Amino acid sequence: MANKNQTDGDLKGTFYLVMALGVFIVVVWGLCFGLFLDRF
Amino acid sequence: MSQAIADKQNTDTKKQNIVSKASNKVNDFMKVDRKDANVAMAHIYVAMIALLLGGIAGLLQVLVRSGEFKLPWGIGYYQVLTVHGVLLGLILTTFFIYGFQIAAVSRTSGTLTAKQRLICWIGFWTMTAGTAMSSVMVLLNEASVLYTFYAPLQAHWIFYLGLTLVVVGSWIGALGQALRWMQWRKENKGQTSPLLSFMVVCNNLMWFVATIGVASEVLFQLLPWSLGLVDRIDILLSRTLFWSFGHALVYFWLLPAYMIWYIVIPKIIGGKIFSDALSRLSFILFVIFSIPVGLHHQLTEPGVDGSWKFLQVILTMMVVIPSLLTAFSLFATFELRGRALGAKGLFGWLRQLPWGDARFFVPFLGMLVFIPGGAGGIVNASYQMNQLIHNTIWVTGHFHLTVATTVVLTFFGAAYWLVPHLTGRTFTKELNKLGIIQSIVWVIGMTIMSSSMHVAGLLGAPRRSTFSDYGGAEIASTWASYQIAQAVGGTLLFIGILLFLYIFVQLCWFAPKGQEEFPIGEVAPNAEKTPAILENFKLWIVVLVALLLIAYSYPIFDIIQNAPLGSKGYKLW
Amino acid sequence: MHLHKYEKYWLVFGVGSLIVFLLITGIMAFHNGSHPPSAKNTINHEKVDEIAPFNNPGVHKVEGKDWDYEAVVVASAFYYDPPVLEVPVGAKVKFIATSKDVVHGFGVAGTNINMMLEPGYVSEYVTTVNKVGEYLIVCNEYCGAGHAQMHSMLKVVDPK
Repeated sequence: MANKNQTDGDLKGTFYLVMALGVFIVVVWGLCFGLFLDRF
Repeated sequence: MSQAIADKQNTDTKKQNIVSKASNKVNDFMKVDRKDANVAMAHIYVAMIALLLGGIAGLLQVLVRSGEFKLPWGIGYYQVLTVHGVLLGLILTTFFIYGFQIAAVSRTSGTLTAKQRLICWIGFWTMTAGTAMSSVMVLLNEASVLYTFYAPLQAHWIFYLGLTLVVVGSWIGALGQALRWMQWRKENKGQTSPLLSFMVVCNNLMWFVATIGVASEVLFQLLPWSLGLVDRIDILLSRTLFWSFGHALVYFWLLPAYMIWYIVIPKIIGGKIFSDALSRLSFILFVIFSIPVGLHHQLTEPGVDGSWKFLQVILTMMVVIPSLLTAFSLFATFELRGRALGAKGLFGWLRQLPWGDARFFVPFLGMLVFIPGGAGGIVNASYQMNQLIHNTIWVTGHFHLTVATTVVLTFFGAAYWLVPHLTGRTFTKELNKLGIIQSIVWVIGMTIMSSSMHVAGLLGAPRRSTFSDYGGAEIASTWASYQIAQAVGGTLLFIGILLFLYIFVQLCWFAPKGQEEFPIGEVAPNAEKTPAILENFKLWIVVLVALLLIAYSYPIFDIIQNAPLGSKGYKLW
Repeated sequence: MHLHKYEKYWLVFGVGSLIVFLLITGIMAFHNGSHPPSAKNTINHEKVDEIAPFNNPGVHKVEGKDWDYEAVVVASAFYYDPPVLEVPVGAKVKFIATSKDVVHGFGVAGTNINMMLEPGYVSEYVTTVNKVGEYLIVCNEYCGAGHAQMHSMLKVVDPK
């Protein structure tokens, strides 16, 4: 991408969405890990 | 979103298509050659028969497991389960993928030569003959061993031979496709090869290396043993060889879906491919990391060191990275397109997407479902946490998200342009609407079925088991209530299959004749050149083999070195 | 190859999360000893009934070991021997199991005890049973027509 700076500003929505996706993955993993610790 | 915007969007896309068609007049392979279309469609017909029969088997399973229904005529639950797994997991996927890939190579690298096409036909008939042989043995109840084989349960040798032919046929077909790409490279020295053909070659290469493990299991263990040439086989070795293939198999399903996401979807929405180089990079990462990870299916098995399992857990996490790249690329493609159409605000671009176009909408639902699918997959692979869910119906719920929704909906969405393109018909407005309804039915059915499977799995309900009250245990009655929900969801999914097959039949024989585009996205004009190293398969094969040796040579040496007495065959069904 | 600025942030977050998952599971495994069942002892699966400890299936109190009880289980199509395992709450128990014929599963619903049982191999898992209750044990690996009828019960009881 030649005009880096310009397109960099354009992908904010993408960034928030993928981060939400990432947080979802971390939360699911955390919940399962909690369940694993809780069980014998 | 308002209809007006959708209409404008569609007109925009169409206008662009016309423009790109005009500007590509020189491009000979806009339309897949008639003869190539025939070989592609032959694969797709077999896939659709598998979808119907495998779907019926799936419906029977959820009904039986609800506890409210018994199979007639002495048919066994596990026989039906074997049909479901083999037909949908192996036959539907492999045949549809080859139909798509042959068309994709023909479209992007050029019409196959007579020799290349003949190779594809030989591959097709070999796979089809193998499928028929295995199916007959399953129907005769000689092979209720599930598609994962489960030695020392011993099926009839014809079942194993049939599946061997499916694999060998797939090698032949893969060669036919790869030869066309190699020809393109020879004719266009120094140029970056067509992205879609490159991806096809990646997928076939990965498949070829992965199937060496399962082919060795069948040729050197299961076949001689089921023929009575040897008495006993090494069970742990057979399982390890199987799973060295078993996880790459799921990437073999997934990568064609990624091809459609990376290349076809941008064109459908009127945008550009986000980055040619990053697309190639993620495919190369899949080639390298899809195979040396099979031990994560064997985390709770005895006989393999924990440290070696953990090494493959690390490699499994590596294979998540190309999916992270993909998620960003796809959203970015959507956002750039939406903004080009004048969208404002953080998420305004979402409204600009062609939601009314089944070719976009259906695969998009597949992408969404991949988010919980992927999250669950990371949990599964997390070493000791695997004990939470191993062999519970959570796993079934997991791959019904990834394969049976993400991949399948993407294939359905692709069929809506691929099939009419190949049959010379058009995807009408009415069929488009039906396609959208179909995908919504699918997602609702799958949400019900898969989430109840996930929950029941965390409560300990086993997978691959018929209905049982487990001696009246309290927890089993809790599972049973989730099994009712699974039956409801599964019934909706079956309706979804019928709807799709109705559309398919229309597109093959009844829809109005015409031209349907095979959409191929273009890279943004100002994109930088793709590094040549990404096309250097020799290098990547060396890396792949090195990783395989690191991940597998000691565990397999150890398994053979410390092998206990082998097992004789059992037929316990 | 140019990576978009946000894509770099995203990859750092994503790959960082994966590394954290690996660190947590790795520390649990190699520091706290929480591995999935990975025992490497082998056995002649056709003579299981004659070989200790499987010649005497059941729950046994043991002395001088890292655990208080051994729960010895023999699986075969389609049942577990013994049909009930009873252990006192709070005890550290080593589950030791194997198969006499085909591959079976040993999944204790509602717990982390979940092992594959394969002919020729001894599967082991040590845990402290810290919650009173009746836990259904099911075969969770397909083993044949009677697979779904193959079950037993783990009873964690309060001895007082």
